[in-house]
Amino acid sequence: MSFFYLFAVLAVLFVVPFIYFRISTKTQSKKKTPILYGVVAYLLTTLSKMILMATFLPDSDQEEADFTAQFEPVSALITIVVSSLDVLGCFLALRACSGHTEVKIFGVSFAWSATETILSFFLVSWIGCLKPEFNWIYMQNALGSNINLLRQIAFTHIIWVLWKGKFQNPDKGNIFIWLSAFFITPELFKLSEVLLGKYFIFGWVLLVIKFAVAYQLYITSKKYFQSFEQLKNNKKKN
Amino acid sequence: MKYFPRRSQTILCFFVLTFVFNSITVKSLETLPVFRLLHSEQVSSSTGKTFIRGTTSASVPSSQTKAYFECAEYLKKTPKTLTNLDQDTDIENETEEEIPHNEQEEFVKCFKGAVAVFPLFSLLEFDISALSEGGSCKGILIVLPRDLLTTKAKEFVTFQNEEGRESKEEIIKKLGEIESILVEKEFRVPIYFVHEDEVSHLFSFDNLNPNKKGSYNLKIVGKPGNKKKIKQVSSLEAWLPTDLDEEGKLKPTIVLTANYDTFSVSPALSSGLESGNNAVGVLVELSRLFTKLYNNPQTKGQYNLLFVLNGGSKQNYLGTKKWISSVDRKVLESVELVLCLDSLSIYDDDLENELTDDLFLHYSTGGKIEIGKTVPTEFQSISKLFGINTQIVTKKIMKNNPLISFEHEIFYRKKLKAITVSNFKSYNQTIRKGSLLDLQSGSNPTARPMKTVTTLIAEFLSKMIYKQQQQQQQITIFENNFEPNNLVIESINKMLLKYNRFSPFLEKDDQLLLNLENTFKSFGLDTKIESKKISLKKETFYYTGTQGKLTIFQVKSLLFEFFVFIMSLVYLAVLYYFLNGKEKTIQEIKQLIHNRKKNN
Repeated sequence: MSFFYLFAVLAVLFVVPFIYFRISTKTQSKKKTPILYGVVAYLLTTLSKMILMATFLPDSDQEEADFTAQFEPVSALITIVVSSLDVLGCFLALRACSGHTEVKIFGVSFAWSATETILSFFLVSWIGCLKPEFNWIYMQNALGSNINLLRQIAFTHIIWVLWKGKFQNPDKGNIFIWLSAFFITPELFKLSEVLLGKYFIFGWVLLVIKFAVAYQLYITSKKYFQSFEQLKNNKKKN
Repeated sequence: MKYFPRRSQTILCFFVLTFVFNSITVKSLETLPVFRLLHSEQVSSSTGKTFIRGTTSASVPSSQTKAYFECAEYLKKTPKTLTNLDQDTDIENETEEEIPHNEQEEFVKCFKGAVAVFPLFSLLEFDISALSEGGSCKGILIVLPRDLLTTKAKEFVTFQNEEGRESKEEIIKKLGEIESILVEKEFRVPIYFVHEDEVSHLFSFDNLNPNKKGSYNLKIVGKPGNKKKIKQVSSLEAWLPTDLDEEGKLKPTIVLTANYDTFSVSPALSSGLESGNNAVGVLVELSRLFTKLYNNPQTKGQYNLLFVLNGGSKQNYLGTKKWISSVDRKVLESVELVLCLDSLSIYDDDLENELTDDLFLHYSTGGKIEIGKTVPTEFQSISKLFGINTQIVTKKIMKNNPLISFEHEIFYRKKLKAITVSNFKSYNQTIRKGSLLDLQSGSNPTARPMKTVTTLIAEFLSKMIYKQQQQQQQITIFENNFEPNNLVIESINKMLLKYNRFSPFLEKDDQLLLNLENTFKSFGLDTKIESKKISLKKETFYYTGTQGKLTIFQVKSLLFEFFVFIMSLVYLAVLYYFLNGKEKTIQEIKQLIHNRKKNN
């Protein structure tokens, strides 16, 4: 067991979102309410998704970590449809909290991502890093959660633009396409894991691909957000 | 930045605590079975407590493996271990004189705190008894090659010392001596055995190269040994009767015996063939052939045949002694000859001196019974027909000597005519006593076909049984339909290989005995398993927990872990710098330094 490795993984898991949130909302106050609403929204959304998945998702004999597993299209489709509940959850969290736009967006994103990290990766990493077994997967998961944070921020921006634009944004067609990308990309990553796994390519290469995709989503959503803000400011001036 | 620790003492405490609670990280490879040395649990410390526990966990860090290699190189130049011993030299005295005390200490220091891993052949270069003291190392792991006798292996071919290449026979002899040391000497460290083929793809001896990075952590988990109460020894009888004589009495009986048990330096490894005896298959096949003959009234012999499989052969033929003391008196009185089958198949092209393809017929003299020359001579003449040379070995029975060399001596002491057929000339031949060279899988391709020996013994017996018909003619019965079937012998041998056959650990209802009983029954013989209670001397005891699980972990060094930690901190710093911007970050750092100076 190694506490060094554990501390390294925990630092990457939790310090990075904190740094990002702190820097993004440095000059703002009233940061607690978006975080609170974000956590509640995530928990309720995840619970609802779990109930729907348990109801509609067919049984699978495969284990998650089996890289020889086959990709199941039906399960993937159901997962994509159920994952669209994230839109509702994020929307409700943004609507409920008050404060500056940046604080709300980054607060909800940070809370959503941090809660997901704590529930999905914290315990696994704690136990795994202290096992008598060194495995890079825990560091990869930690870096993956950082990428998820980036993705979540991009997602929250898109939801904000759609909500505040009241579907009148001329680019709404493209925005919906980009929004659907948020749901499709996780399943595409699973498919690529299966395909690349047959050639023993996983881990770091997939992480780089995930980062590239998340960064592209972030850039695009940031672009939409900025164009929306500009449009809003122009309307105010007029 | 106010959430980050300000005090350097806090950071220092953090690192100290991390170092204190830290250990090397590991990556597991696989879990595989290991076998514990027979006597490794018998050692007690001066306080009377058991010294060795059920689990052993020790590391072989790269610094130790380097030291180990240095020791190896050092000792290769001045081999002062068993390789230079003469046949008659006492082993213990030789090691004390040959290896200076300080050099031995240096050697032992190499393994301190580590597991000493020895491929079997390296034991020829190292005096393993130097590691017998507690604290010298955490444990010893001996890697055994399988079926060593059958391999034209590099181990035999490439082993060298200063005097040149040693012969295969000498190496085998020395391995036997090493095994004797392992069994007889008191070791205060646990010794485990593992088969090379199970380990080689994970953890070969070549991987312990000091030039390669990384080291290994070996963890062995097993139940702690408990003293085993040895209650009984079992014998299996199969009776093939002929008709009673005119007075209604039993006709003469020929007894064929063999031993189903074996011995190994680790009880869990006692499944091999070759070193003790491997005549069980031959005996079973003989029973099948004679049952076939006796089933036909026209070919029914004039002798009863009693096939006996005894255990306890390695406890001075305890099983045979118990059996003979309990057998029916009428049967005992009708016994005309006892034919004891010992090892019958060791034969190797390379072994010219110690072992030959001759058979040896042993019988005793000096008692009230004389076997005469007829039986041995007849056996010799028949064996010549099969191209086998049989040598006759006689030994005067020493009534005061409790040690039994061959099984026939037990019957001879009970005033029965008995002979032993064996591939060994002498009872104390090293290869006979050693078990490390036993076959663990499959058959010996270089060995004499067992079919030939079976036919030879069957023809010899038939000459006795049908002597009235065959006085003038040399008739061979066991051919064509009555030819011994090698498959039967091989299948029996394969079955034997599946079971640990160390006698003290066998129970009356052991599956091995039940399977053998069923085999005899399937031929149509009357069978019986008899278990006799035994009482051993107080100083003789055995321990359970002879098997464990070995997990080998490939270890990453502490430095590597620390490096990962530092890299994660660098990643955080770079990310902060990237997100915050260059100017703001520098400004914050300056602010931090300025605040500290103010506080100080």
